[in-house]
This record gives sequence, structure tokens and C-alpha cells, in this order.
Amino acid sequence: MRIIAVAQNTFRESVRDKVLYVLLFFAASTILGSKAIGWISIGQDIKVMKDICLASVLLFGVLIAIFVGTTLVHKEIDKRTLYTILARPMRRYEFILGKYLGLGWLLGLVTAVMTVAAALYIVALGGGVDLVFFEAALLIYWELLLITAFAILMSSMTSPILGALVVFSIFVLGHGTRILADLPRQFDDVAGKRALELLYYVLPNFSNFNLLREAANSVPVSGAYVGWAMLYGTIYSVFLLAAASAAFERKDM
Amino acid sequence: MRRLAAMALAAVAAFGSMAAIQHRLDSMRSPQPEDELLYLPNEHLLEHFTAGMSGVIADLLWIRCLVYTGKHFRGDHDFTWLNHLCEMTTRLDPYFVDAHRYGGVFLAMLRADDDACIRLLEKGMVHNPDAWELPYEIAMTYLLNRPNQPDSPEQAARYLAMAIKTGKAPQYVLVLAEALQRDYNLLEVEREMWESMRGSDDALLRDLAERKLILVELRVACGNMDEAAARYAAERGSPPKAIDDLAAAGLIAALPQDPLGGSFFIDAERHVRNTSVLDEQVERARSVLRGGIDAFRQNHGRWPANLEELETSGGMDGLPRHPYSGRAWQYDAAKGAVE
Repeated sequence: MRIIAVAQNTFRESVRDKVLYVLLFFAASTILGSKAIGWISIGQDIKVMKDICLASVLLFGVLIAIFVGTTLVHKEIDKRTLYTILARPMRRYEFILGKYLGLGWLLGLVTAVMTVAAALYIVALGGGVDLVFFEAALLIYWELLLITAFAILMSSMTSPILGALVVFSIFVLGHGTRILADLPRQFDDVAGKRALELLYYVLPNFSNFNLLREAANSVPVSGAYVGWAMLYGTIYSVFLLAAASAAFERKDM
Repeated sequence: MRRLAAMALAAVAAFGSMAAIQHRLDSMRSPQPEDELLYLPNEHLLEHFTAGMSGVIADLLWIRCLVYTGKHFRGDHDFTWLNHLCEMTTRLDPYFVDAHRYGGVFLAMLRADDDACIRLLEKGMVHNPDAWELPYEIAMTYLLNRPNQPDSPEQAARYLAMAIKTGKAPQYVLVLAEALQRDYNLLEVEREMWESMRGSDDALLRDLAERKLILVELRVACGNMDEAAARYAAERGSPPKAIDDLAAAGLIAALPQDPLGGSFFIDAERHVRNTSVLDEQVERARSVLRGGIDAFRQNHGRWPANLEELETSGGMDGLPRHPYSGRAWQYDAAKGAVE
């Protein structure tokens, strides 16, 4: 119950954040402008629109998760409201989970609004939207939840600017971890090859959530794949939230 | 009011001076070299560091590829970076069928690099097995870019069969595949093609495949009996007078059955024929003639006076021969009908 109260408060607080509306404005502009890029692609306008719309949902969702997520805990400390909250009968991990849930709800709302708006826009311009489009949006949301977990972890450990930089780097590198599993032949005799391959399984693999190409080209994706990817994201997020709670428990305030 | 005017004046002055400076800067910089494409990162690495935006980057690269192709097509016809752009685009989005297809066409037709074209299209087929366009373009590359290569027709026929196997190829691909297989007697390829179509979910396609497979077997039987007739002529010094002579001489076990109700016979040119096969060829040839007659009427406002007028008017390169030896087309100039 206390977790829900913090989550509701975080949701209300985040909805009032001006950064959210600035990012949503840019996301809407990009989605509406996707048609212009589609025009010059010679007969591929719907494919290009789908690509750009879903990429906008992902990119602006990530920016919201990072900019809002990395300031969540720090803001409470800065405004000294955290002392009032923790003076009540509330465990620190409940506070972290509440913050995570609140931002998760906000991202769910933002993702749903952007996805439905993009789908309606594509349909209005003569395109078709199939199941894989919504599967891609669902996995984007799951990716955002994982990034939020990283943001909350950073927020409980470091400053917002450093946290934002670290999380954004994790987002970029997390899409490229496949390179560790596909090491070129030059690495065959290198002792560290096994360590790098092991690292592939330890680092977050955001490519698991990336169905953008499939959605843009209407390539069907099985529900089982979506389910496994969601399970992967859930386990990783739970681990990160546990780490964030542990870090926050030890934080000297 | 005065303040507003001053602000407007200041804005005009600021943007005016910036435009002048921009113009100066543009003239000072040399035009962007095409070799900038050389600095595009290796596609293997690029794929890993797109932060999930590989589809969008592929779209932008494809647009760049179209601009590059258009510019050089109207200019120096130097397409040095075309293959690199196509490879990168399709690596970033392996489901991008049109980038594979038109990239392949550009490579074959503009850069005359049919090896790169076939490589790109084959790579696309791995990721897009349902795209009929990719094997179709490979077939076209074999036919158009490698006409002198002995196995080109067979390769083209094989890829056309793959295009048909997707179940999505349009009618003209089917017609082309059939013509190619007939002209080059590629029975195995044809059999493979109809066998795959027999597994279609569409009842009409299944029925068509069943019938076509029977016709293939009838043509095989005709070929076998032709060889038997040649042996008969060599042994006895004269060709067989009737088809039953082959069975009587023990050169064939028995006369094959025709499930379509037709019969075998030896024509005036001493070849073994089957009426079902010939009737089907008559239908196809008549369709070609009807098309020519209709086109003639559209262009001249009347039916041709005779079939030869289709040739003399330049509407058709040649009239299809009647498949039955010794028969001719019956043409009704009043109705434009041909039988």
C-alpha cells in the first residue's frame, strides 16, 4: 500500500514535469514528419513511417526514462522531502519500488499514447498496422522498464547528470552486445575470448526487445519470443531494483 | 510600435547578414566529395552500434543510395559506392525487400556487376523466403546479363520456379517460367515447380498444379516413345506407321494412359504426340493470337483482314505455329475470332 502511495505520487509529479511535454512535442513532430521522409524513399513511405514512428517511441521513451528516472531520488534529497517520507513507517526499498512503479505507469501511458497515435496516423495515410507493430511497442515498453531500473539504480548512487550519461551509454552499448558473441576470428587464440563471451550473458541485451525491423516489414514474430523477451527483462529489472534498494539502504543521508 | 519595428529591423539585419556569411562559407568550402562514403563504418560494426535504430538508419542509407544512383545515372555513370551502400542498407535491415530488389537491379543494370547483384539478392532470399521478387530478379539477371552463359536459361528457370514456390508471384512470372521451361525442355525444373505448387493452400492452384504435372508426364512419355520410334526406324528401315507398332515390336511395354482423356499418335513429321499436350499448346498459342488481334483492333479501330496483317502491321513479331502438324489457324475476320 505504501509502495502504491509513493507510485501515485511519483506519477503525479512526473506528469507535471515540463521535460516530459518537451520530449512529447518532439516525438509528435517526428511521427508527423515521418511522412515527409517516406515521400523521398520511392514507394517505401509506409515502411519508413513505421520505422520512424517506432524509433520515436523508443528514443523519446528512453529520454523520458533517463531524464525523469535519474532525477527521481536525487530531487527528493535535494528538496529534503525524502527526510519527511522516511521519517514515516516506510522501508527504503518500498520508496525505491514506489518510484519505479510510478515512472513505469507514466512510461506505459506515454508509450500507449504514442503507439496508438502512430498507428492511427499510419492507417489514416493508407498503411496497414498488424500484430507485430503492437508486439514491437510492447517490447519497447519492456525495454523502457529495464532502462528505468538502471536509471533508478543510478539515481540512488550518483548525481543526475552522471547517472543520465551512464544510463544512456548502457542503452547504446546494450544494443551492441551481440558483437561479444560474434567475435571475429582474430580472437580465436586470445585468452580473454571466453571472458568476453561470458560478458555477453551478463550485460543487458537490449536487442532482445528490438522488433522494429520486423514491425516495419510486417515480418511475423511468435508470441513465445515476446514472452521470453519479457521474462528476460523482468528478471533483469528485478535484479537491478534489488541492487538499487541495497544501494539506497546503505546511502548515508 | 516603434519598438516592434526596431525588433523586426534587427531580425532582418541579423538573418540577412547570416545568410550572406553562410553563402560566403559555402563558396569557401569545396563540394562534398563522393568519397565520403568511404568513411561510412564497416557494416558489421555499424549493425551493433545503432542503439536499436538500425531500421531508420537503413531507410536513410537507402534514400542516400537512391540519390547517389540518380545523380550518377544523370552524370558520369560511375557507381563505385553502389554495392557498399546496398550492402550496408540490407545488413542493417535484412527484411527490406525493396532495397535488396532494386539494389540488385541497379547493380546489374547500371554497374553491370551481376555477381554483386546475385549475391545481394540471394542474401535477401535467406531472410525473405516469401518474397517472389528476389528470385525473379536473379532469373532476370541470368537472362539479361548473362545471355551467353550456357546454363543461364536453366538457372533462370530454377529461380523462377522458386519465385512461383512463394505462392505470391503474379501471372506473368508463371507464364515466363513455363515458356522458359518449354523452350529449353527443362522438365525436371518444371516438375519441381508444379510439385511445390501442389502443396498450396489454394484449391485452384492445387488443381492447376495437378493438371500441369500430368502434362509434364505426358511430354516425358512422348519423348520416350520418340526414342523408341527412332530405334524402330533404325531396326526396320522405316518409321512406325502407328503408335501401336511400338508396343507390337516390344519397344515399349504398353501404351501409357492419359488421365486427361487424350491419346497418343504419330504425326506427319514422324514424332509421337499427345492430344492433351497439343490441346493445351493450342490454347496457349490461341491466347497469344487473341491478344495480338485485340491490340490490333485497339490501334486500328477494326479487326485485321487476316492473321498475316498482325505481322505486317508490326503488331506481332511472328505468328505462333499451330501445334498440330498439318493444321492451320481458322480466322473469322468479321468477328476477330480465331480457332
